[in-house]
Amino acid sequence: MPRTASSFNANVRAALSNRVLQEALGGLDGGLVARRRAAVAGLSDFEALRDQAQSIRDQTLDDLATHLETFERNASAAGSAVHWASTAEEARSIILEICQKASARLVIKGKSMVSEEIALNAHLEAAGIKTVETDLGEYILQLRGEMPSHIIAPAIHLTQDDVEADFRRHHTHLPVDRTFAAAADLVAEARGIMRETFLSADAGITGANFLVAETGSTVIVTNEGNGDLTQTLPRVHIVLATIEKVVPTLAETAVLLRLLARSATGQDMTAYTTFATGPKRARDPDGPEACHIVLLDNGRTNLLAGQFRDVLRCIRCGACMNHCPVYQAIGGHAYDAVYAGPIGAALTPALAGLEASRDLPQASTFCGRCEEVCPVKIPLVTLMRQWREQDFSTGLTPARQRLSLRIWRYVAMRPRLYQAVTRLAVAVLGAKGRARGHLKHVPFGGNWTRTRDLPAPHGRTFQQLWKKAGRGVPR
Amino acid sequence: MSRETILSAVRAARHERSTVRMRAGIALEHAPLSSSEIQTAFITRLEACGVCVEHLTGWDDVPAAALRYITAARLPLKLRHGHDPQITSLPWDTASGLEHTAGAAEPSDLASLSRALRGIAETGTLLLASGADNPVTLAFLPDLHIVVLDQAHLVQTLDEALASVCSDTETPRLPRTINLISGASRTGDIGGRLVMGAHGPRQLVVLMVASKMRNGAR
Repeated sequence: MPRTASSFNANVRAALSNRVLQEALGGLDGGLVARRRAAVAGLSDFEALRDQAQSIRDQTLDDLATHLETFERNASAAGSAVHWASTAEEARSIILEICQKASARLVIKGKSMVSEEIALNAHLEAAGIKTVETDLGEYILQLRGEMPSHIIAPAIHLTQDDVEADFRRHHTHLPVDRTFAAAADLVAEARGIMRETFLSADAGITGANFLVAETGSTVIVTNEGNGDLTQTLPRVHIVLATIEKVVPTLAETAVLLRLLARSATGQDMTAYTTFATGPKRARDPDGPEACHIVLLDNGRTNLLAGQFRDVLRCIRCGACMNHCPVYQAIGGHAYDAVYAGPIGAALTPALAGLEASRDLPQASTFCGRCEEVCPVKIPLVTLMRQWREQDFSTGLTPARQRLSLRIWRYVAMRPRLYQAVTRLAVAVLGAKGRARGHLKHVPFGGNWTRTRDLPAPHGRTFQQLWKKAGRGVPR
Repeated sequence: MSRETILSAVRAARHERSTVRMRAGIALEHAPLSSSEIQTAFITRLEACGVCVEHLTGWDDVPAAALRYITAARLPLKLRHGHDPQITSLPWDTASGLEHTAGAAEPSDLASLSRALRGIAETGTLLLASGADNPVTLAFLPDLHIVVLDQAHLVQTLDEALASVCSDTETPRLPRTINLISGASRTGDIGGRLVMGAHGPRQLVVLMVASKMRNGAR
């Protein structure tokens, strides 16, 4: 993985004071979140569907080797070449070799987070192969030299004004005095430019939302139709997917498809969902002459073997980040990792190492909204907590934080001491803040009170009030 | 070799669970809808996604209807379709002035006509399959994509639709490309605003042809 999350705190501060970013993120709650809510309400049995989906993903992972072999056999029978890559480096070499053998000079790409994970574009460009992103959001980010800040809405951190400025800066062959009255004008300009690229590309690279074992098909889900043009027009189609994307049957894929778009964008189904099975057939008038499928591990088998296995259920809808109060406040770039938000916090330490990404599992209030909306019920809070425990037990936690946790544990494990300490603290803070109702400073709480006041406590602890009300000891 | 490394690592991590494997009966336990309910659900969902749905009394009305939509979209009076006999054999002389050619879409084609094998009510989705007579490019290159659907080919669920295009249910073999289409091309990538016509068609029209045979499709 090319990037780490070591500068998380500085990123957060920058994100919170970035007014353009805050404006862009402000639309999340009324947009993707509200649309998902409406889509879920339109389905009477959404919860039953989540249970089914979880069960499908769990059972597939339980017997993943069989499903991968079935997929390989059926994909090969349909004429696809299946390649296996343990590491990012191996996947990059395989793809570069395919492109070079096909004498490809221009490669177009559908949106693929796995290709971000292996930093594919830079590798192809370094070998002299021009690589162009075709998803509009990804295209804009490529112009800007940025990473996606969201797995399904990669340019969600940008405003329309940002995009206009980028297009004016890069599309210099177009009249300087052209006007952009609406987002549609920007889309039209990009469409015109991208058309030429689509038509002249030698190879197309896409990811896969699912790999269907029983048919050997790769499935892509898009709204723009760019993925379909990418896998239809060029001579060579290359699919890059990680091994956990396999689904045994079409019927099981249908269940996951029912959840994917609704969870992601609140659509019943995206505009285009495509099952591709092998290259062009004998009498086909269009389609690629060759189809290659690269199955990548890149840490998945380690995840499968350990306590973070559930993270592999993910179908990459992005609902967890849309609903995360931390993501909503700081956006995706602050995480400085390929995958942001709760799923990123649970996955990144496994891919990039905990030392480099130890701040990410800490960046959660554990409010649990992510788990509530996850279509495959990944226990994201539990997974993040497991990373925190590992952080502590392997000594990565800074000394001061360790000391605080030790003191806390000492006190919390001794009920009488705990009650005495909290009584004292609540009484002192209550007396101090009685006049105003809030406190501007709290001992050891400088970081907290720097940006806000602490509401003053009552003066008595919950346990005191409970006793006073004459309630017994709860059983 | 990476294949063996990956597969043996996956096997080593294999879990046995007590849960019974779920295969059959995965389809949502929807109460089955009547054919008129299926049709209403299908049309309502497509229209909510900005798709225009028009009823035709027979296949013979397709050329004239296509011409009307091409004219309304102010496009040149040219139409591209596949070699599908059900389309090439239509009475094209009823659409005077419309130039139509068979084959894969060319970059200059602005309007296309394809045939959907199924219409899926649960999501308002058309199922198209590629083949010798049905180019994939028709669905993605032109500005206006017109799709003909036989009313008898409406089904309730995605599962039914997918199962119906498998050549053999034991070892299903799919057409090279199955396109599930639920609307025209769109993007929300600029400031979160929905804009139609990102890379593919700006407009999708469904011509639903009334069935000659009753209950003949399943």
